[in-house]
Amino acid sequence: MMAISRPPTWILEPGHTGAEFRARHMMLTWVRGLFKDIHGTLEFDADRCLDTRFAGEIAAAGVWTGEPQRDEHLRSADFLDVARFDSDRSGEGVLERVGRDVRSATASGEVRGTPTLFVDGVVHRAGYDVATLLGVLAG
Amino acid sequence: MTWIFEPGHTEAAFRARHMMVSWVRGLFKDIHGRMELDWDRCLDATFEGAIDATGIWTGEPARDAHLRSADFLDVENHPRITFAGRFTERTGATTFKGEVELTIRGVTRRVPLEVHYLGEWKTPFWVGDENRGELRRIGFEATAKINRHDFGVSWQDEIPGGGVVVSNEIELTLDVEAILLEDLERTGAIEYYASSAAHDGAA
Repeated sequence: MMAISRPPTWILEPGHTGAEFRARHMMLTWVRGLFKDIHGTLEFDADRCLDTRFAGEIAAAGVWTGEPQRDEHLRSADFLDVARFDSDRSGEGVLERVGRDVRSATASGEVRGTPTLFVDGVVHRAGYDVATLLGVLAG
Repeated sequence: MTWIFEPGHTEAAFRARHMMVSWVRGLFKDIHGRMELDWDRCLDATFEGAIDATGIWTGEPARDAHLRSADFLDVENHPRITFAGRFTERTGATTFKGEVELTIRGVTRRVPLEVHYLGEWKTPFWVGDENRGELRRIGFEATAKINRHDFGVSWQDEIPGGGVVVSNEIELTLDVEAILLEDLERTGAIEYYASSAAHDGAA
């Protein structure tokens, strides 16, 4: 029997999750900037901390170094190229991929919201607790 | 020799613990000030500057408004945080101990500093296609720890388990880039700083 359960999930609190960076300016001074409002999840259990996983997303457009002109430059194609990220995200490739998922979900007649779990192609409506899920997977 | 802080690359960073666990960081930018420093007698070095307290930024408008309010910095009555300090001991080739008279909310306290010299570099001063001459720049990073209650920045709330919402101890980092006044005057670059200094005076 496989199914090792993942550690508990923790949701990053956007108001108190930040990313700081610093770079040297003119070979000398540290210039610092911040990204705030970071969204993500952490799977963490202190008793088995090497099973930890985490993932998150930083809104690059929110880069802040305190000087509007510099921030604008950092958002530009010279640095983070925020516009390209945004256009990719709303581009045809992404829309097509999301559209395919939506059509597939609708066609199944089973997907009513998130989460909807399928096991071997059959929708799972019972509980999501570990015992129930292990039972379904073993069956 | 007199060195003028370059406001675009001089800043103060701070961090406090939130809910006993995470660091929350914020920045003050656009810091104006000056430094007197000769390497032949570096322990005579002095420096002073002013921070626009109204410009505090932690990335969340509601929190920044709270930090500006009378609960914290009370910027309406104390729009500036000021500092004036000196080097007290050379601890290595590029490291010093210093102390600074720091004024927050109108309360002045002497705070010890750890100072790291980051080097000197000469940069051209371009006006259009013309290089008006070199500007000598020096960089420093200074760190300190303060207890915010020493300055009357004393809003607090308790959380179950004997904890507090905002830590009492605040860690500060001052990043300074300074340009030699003589070079600013020789190249005419001083005009640019004089205008931003005038702006600062008006604020």
